[in-house]
Amino acid sequence: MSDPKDFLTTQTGTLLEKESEDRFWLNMGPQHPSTHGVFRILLETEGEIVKNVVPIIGYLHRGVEKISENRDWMGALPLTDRMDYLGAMSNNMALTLPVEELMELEVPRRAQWLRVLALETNRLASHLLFYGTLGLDLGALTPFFFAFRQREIAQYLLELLSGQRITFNYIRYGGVRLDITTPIEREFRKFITGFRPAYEEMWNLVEGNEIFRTRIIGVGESTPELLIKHGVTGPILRASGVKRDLRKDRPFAAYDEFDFDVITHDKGDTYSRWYCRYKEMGESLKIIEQCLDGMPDGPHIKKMPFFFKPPPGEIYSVTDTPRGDLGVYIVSDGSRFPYRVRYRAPSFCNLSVLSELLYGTGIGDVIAILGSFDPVFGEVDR
Amino acid sequence: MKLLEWRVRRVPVGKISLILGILAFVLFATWKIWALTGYWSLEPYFDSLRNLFLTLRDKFGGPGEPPMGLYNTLIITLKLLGILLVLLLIGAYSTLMERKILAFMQDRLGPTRVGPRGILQPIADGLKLLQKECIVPLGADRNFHYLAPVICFIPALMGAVLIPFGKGLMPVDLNVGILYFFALGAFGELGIFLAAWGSNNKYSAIAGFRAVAQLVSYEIPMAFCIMSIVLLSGSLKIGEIINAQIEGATAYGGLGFPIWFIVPQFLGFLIFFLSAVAETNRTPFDLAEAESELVSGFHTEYTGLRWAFFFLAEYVNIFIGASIITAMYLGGYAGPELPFLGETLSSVVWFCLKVFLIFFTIVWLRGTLPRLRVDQLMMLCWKRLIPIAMANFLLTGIFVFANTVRLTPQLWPVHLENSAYTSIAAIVVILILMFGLAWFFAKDLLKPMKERDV
Amino acid sequence: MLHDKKLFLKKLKPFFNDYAEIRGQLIFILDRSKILECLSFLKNDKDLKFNMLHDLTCNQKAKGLEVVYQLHSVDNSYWVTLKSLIPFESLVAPSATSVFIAADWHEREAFDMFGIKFNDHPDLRRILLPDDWEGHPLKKEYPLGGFKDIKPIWAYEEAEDLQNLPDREILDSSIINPDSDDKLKVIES
Repeated sequence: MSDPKDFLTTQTGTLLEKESEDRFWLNMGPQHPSTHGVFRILLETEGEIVKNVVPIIGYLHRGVEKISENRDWMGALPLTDRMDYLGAMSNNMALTLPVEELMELEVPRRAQWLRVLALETNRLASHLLFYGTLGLDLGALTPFFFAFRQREIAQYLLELLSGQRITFNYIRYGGVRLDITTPIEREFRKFITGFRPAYEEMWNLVEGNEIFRTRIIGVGESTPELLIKHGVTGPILRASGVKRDLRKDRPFAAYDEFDFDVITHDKGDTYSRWYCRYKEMGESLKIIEQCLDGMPDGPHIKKMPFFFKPPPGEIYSVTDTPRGDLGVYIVSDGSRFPYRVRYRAPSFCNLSVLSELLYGTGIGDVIAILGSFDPVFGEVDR
Repeated sequence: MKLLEWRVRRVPVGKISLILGILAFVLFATWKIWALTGYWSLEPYFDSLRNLFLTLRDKFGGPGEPPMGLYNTLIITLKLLGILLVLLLIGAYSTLMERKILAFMQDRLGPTRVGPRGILQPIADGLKLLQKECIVPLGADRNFHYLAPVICFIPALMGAVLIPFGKGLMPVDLNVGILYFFALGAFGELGIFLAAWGSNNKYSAIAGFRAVAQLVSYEIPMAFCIMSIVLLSGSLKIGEIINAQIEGATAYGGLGFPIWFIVPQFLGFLIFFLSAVAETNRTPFDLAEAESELVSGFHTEYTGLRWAFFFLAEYVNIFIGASIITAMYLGGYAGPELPFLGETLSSVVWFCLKVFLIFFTIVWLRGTLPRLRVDQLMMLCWKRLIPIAMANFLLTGIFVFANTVRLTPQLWPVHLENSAYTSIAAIVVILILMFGLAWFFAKDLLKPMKERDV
Repeated sequence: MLHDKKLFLKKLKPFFNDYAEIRGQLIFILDRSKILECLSFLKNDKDLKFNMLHDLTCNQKAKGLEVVYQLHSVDNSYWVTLKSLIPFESLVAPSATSVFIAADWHEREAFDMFGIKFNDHPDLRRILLPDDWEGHPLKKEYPLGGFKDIKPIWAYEEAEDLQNLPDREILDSSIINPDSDDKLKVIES
């Protein structure tokens, strides 16, 4: 066991507090069962109490931005699926949006609605995964199976819609790749009727569980000021009482045509984050229902050439993903290839607040808080 | 490939020292025999062996048996092996049972592939684990690492002598039965801590500290519950405790009426059950394993058969714990005689049924509850369970005192007719009192724990 | 509405050299020396309240690297972009960490990918790439495959090729050292 202290003293000199004999460094990850991917945290603990946190990322860095610069615009799109692999639809959306804005493309209304349908189904699947893995992190096995049973169906629906299970590549420049058909719509409706009782059951499984509540209430409390200072967005920010949702504030796709609530909770602790994500599933379900009921007619995509050249310019556009704001900054020099594509990943920014929240908590809480942040490391490392 | 040709050449220090040690012992023993008897002989060895077998015969064969022969020795050895095998099978099949129950709770099927409905799964798992390599980390303390699973496993096996499988089917009714159970629990802790310390892994070390703190703490409420039971039954013997529940009367005085101790000791039952779950490191008290926090806790660095030993020890311990709970609170093998089965067999059936009930509840807990945090765990023990257990002990003392007074009219302050009515009235009053207080405290026990700091 | 153009132009008058509006998005171009001043003004101004640094990145131009700040006001839902050109001759920008702590990781990433130095950054080291990485990959002159010809291990067909593996530092002292003369020797930690 090589002591991370040597590594730390050379690398992060300023971060280290004074050495103490009661403390020792605990290396968590990158191969730890509950760091949700290849995340590594060095914890300096005093007994079980965390006194110093050094997060280390980059184990899944694939250079998405660099590769994008060396492909054409269409070729850059599938790479986004590989970033946030749990909410791949919203990543597709995030890249198509600025390109369409730059080219001033008119996207058909049906395409926008189909986008919303796909995005919300994907959000549902992502939050279901969060629900299950938070249970696993706390040592409860059953929520995981309850959530994954539903997630499996959601994933199946997305497969029907896009032809893929994880890397959808469904939302394209100018619309969506495939149109929805009546049998698929029927499957969606079947899912909604089946999901409601399971949704109630999932609520009872946590809300009626004393130990579950004790483990998450009051753990990792955060204030809106702290979160905004660190650039934290999404359900985590909403859980601390800030009513901010880009689907309302800066609507993309067809979100301005839908009726849904922005879920907030006032405590900002792990329970609030759980609550927000749980309730957002209900809102997603509402949006999916509205989508199915009022799906407009028309083409599902605006015909585009495979190679196209957006006009020179730069755009920073932001979309809401299950994890927070995904900002995409694109620079076009008027050629077939992107000059620069930059992804501002929500998990990346969310994780930066982690070291402040973890101070003074126990090792069990570290896992709970990290689980409640629901990071995806494909996105953090890109 | 060249990469594969590098070998680690290591001097087998452990083996050499073991062989040298055995050689030295044999030489020393031979010299000692020579010094004592004046001639070279292996007779003393045989003598000691014979003594061992005689003791065993006294225990198992009972009086009136024909003298020890090779045949009887063989029989006893076979019996011992049989018990060992049964115990191992219980350990192995508990895993299958747990997986099936959990699968039922989570809308799954559980293991189905090996044998019909997966019935051979534990055996396949065992065979797989047998073949696996036992890896010892380079920085580990090899001796501790080797010893720990053994130290964990042996007390689990030793506990088997306490299990009252049925009427007259108790292997040994020790006169310190319950204390023995306690002592074995302490042994298991040692094994866990040795495993944690010997692995040279920080996760294991933390798990070891957690395990020791947890197990030592949870022995206290357990001890208080046991003392209450001992007060009621007047004996430490498991057989006597069961008898006290079936017949009511004991030499000490006892209750004077037959009742399962879960009724007057409901609170004690709850506390003992929780402590027993904590003692066996099961969810929600599985902090020493905590696979999401500490990877695998104290057995992170174990593979193959050594890991299997921990696993088996855990399940055998659950079985023993469930048996002790059954014996102490649920009347052991007591139950009405079943048709076509006969007295002994139906008592076995009742015992197994009750043990399965307890086991099912333990698995149920695992299916529903997440893990507690360390401070919450300790708080539950020291702030809730121990005070309540102490109160329960005190109440039981008062109860037993009142009961003794009831049974001896000479001590009554006012002379009353010792009729059935007064007896029944006294019993009812006392039971209601016990139940009321029990519920009062139990409500407190179930209140949410809000305080975070210990 | 992403911004209030009139208000922004009035408030930011003393800071920017030039501004542009692309598809309803305001972009201000400032000098390197005025970045910090402007950021803290935007953060503390009562009408604007840009309390979140949403993104910080770089973009390579002909003469230098452009540092791009995306600012966001959570209360007013305003968005604005600030840009500043850092010439190649002196790739040093002021660190925004003193104003926005969120800039910490973003600046580390910009340093990692572009090699731009941020003055007064508390802990400026690589964040995504290994510490011993050579070069800064998102620069245009950095080839897609990297500078070094490093093949994955399965790409070495011949056993002899394994001898010619590129040198790598052995970080864990408890493994067998393949370069030592005595190949059977175990290095004790």
